[in-house]
Amino acid sequence: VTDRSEVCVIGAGASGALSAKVLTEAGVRVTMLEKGPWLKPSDFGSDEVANTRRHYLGPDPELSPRTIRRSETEVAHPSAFCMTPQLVGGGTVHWGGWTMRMTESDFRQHSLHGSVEGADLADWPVTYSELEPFYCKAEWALGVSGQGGANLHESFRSREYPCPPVPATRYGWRFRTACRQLGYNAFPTPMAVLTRAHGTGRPTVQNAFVELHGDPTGTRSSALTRFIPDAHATGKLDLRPLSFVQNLEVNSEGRVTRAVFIDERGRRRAIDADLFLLAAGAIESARLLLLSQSGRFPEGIGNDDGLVGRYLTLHEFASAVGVFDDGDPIFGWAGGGVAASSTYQFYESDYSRGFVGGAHLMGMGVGTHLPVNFSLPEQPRWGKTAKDNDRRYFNRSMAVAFVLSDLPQWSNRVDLDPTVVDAWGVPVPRITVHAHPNDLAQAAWMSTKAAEILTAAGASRVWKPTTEDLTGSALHQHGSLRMGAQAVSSVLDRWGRVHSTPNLYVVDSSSFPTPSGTNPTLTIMANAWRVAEHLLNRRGSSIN
Amino acid sequence: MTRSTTVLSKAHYRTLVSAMDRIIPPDNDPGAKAAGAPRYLAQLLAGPDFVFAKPDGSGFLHLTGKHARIWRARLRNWRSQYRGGLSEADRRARARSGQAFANLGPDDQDLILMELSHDPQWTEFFELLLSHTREGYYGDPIYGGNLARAGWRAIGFDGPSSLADVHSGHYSTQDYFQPSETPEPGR
Repeated sequence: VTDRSEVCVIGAGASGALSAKVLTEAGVRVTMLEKGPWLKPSDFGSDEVANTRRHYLGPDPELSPRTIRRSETEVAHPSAFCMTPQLVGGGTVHWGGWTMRMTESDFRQHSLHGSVEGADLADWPVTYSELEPFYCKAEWALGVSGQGGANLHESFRSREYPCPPVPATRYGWRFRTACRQLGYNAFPTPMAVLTRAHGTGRPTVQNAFVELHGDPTGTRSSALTRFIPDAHATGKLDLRPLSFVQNLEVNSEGRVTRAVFIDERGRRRAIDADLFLLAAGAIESARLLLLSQSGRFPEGIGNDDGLVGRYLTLHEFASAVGVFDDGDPIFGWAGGGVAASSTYQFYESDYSRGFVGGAHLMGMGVGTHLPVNFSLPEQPRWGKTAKDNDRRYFNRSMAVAFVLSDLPQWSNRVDLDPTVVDAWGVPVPRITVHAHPNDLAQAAWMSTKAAEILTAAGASRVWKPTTEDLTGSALHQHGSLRMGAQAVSSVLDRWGRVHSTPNLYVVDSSSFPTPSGTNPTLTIMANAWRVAEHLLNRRGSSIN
Repeated sequence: MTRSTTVLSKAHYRTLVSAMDRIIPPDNDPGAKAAGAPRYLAQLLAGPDFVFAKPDGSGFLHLTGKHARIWRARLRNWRSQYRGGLSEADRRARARSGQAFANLGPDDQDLILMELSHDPQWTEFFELLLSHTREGYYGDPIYGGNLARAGWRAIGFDGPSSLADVHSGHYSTQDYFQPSETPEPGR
């Protein structure tokens, strides 16, 4: 069975749902296909076991495995690698909601640093200035809470945050106080959390079950709770959950004509459209292009030069952990451990540190700071000592964490596993990644800095993380379908359009030439908004 | 709970209870046994009816299709891991002192668990035991463990009174934020 639509969006997460909102609000008919279910806020809850141990928000790695290897010469083994949720709302359903902006330098990494051996830095074909208005739009659409100007290292902003910052937690307070003592600028971490009425949203409560959990109350904004209802209200959106796209068909001119998918009852169906927007995330979007092989594109769409899947960057989430024997308790679980404070003091490159790039540091709870998952590094995991540590430190510990800005490398990539298939019989994404020496140098330096802040905050004992490789621990993914000014070294043009395929646009973070040192989702939304407005501006003649 | 006898034999269950009580031992706070962790596990292993609590706390989700299939297979594997691992713990206990694991003193039990945790053949079993003990001690009480919030009380986690408490938007951690009268620490 084949249906028709003006635009077909594949993936209903941060970028797909945002695109659907912007396009449908301008009157465009959109069909959006999402592999996962369409859950409602009432389907979410405070269940640490279901959410952190049993893949409640999916995907279950037994159904949708990935494989991982460190180099081209190894056989990849199945792994639950970087399993960002697959459902309507995507990663924004389980996110902590941190919504920092990138800075001007993030868009000019090659101009600033030139060549780094073993890596391929590139400038974005977009500048911060071009994106800035869309950052504002995304912040206002979500209802981000924050304090404009508090981050002295932020690039310019033309509009204040729509909501004031989340009240300070004790771990946020300790972090800010320690930073002040050390002479570092700290600021309340901007969050997609309503602190006052905004649009149709109302603030509710700060509970303890935040990261990795959906929010049943609506205080935390997501693509599911903000963008999907807007798009739905236009009457122009046809959202199809449990619809797993397996192939894009092309005609002799290289245009995509059809998305072929399996519906929830296992039936093969298709959508024909004038224009296709790919928004499945950097791993799944690359996988779909590689799966879409044809006489015209024997190696997959956009892959004539073998670039599809390459330059995958993942961040690495690492944290120093401190315990506090003296002073007031910290309650690292209040606000879910993510009502944090941040610093961009070490965000910009400083060659005297011995590496390029930098990271956003934040004071937060220890991991997912909840009882089942609580643990301290290098400590016994069972027996009397473990129980004593739980009792002494569950309320008296915090972390200073960072996301590593890993360098894009040719060999870090997504391709199709030659033997492993998923529960639908489709070859799974095979991930080949290893850390660059610059990544490890950066991690070591940031670890020392994170530990220094914890010590200044009064920690009686501090553990520094050791980062040995990229593990996908941030659940961030970027870069597998780079955009660039030159077709020879990129898959997408500056609007996210596949060079070889004029009616196919990629709107997710696959397009990011470099990953930045901060959480990507606000930038994903801003960039998708920029592309969607471009498509609408071109609509005079026809949408494509 | 009657299921314990059908999913695991009486002997296995007895070993399980003793082993869990070494993972989180009793002292002036309850151990894993008193907090209901073994019961929690027996209920989970019995079949895919207790995998996901309904978010409003009104019961459990009924799994269908691929998810039911995957969870049946996963639970089958776990049951087999437990039967193997618990038998091995008992075998080592008898080899050491001629007695069942449950009859050994805490130090001997710890030694056997330590051995199993380092033996590649039994690592998977041991990791399951560790995870499930923590889930049964610290997980939401709806799953059958953490009786009377024993685990949460022990560590000072002022958790919700029920899943419904969060689902309805009543549970707040605001009292555990920084007191609002604290002066702002400049930049």
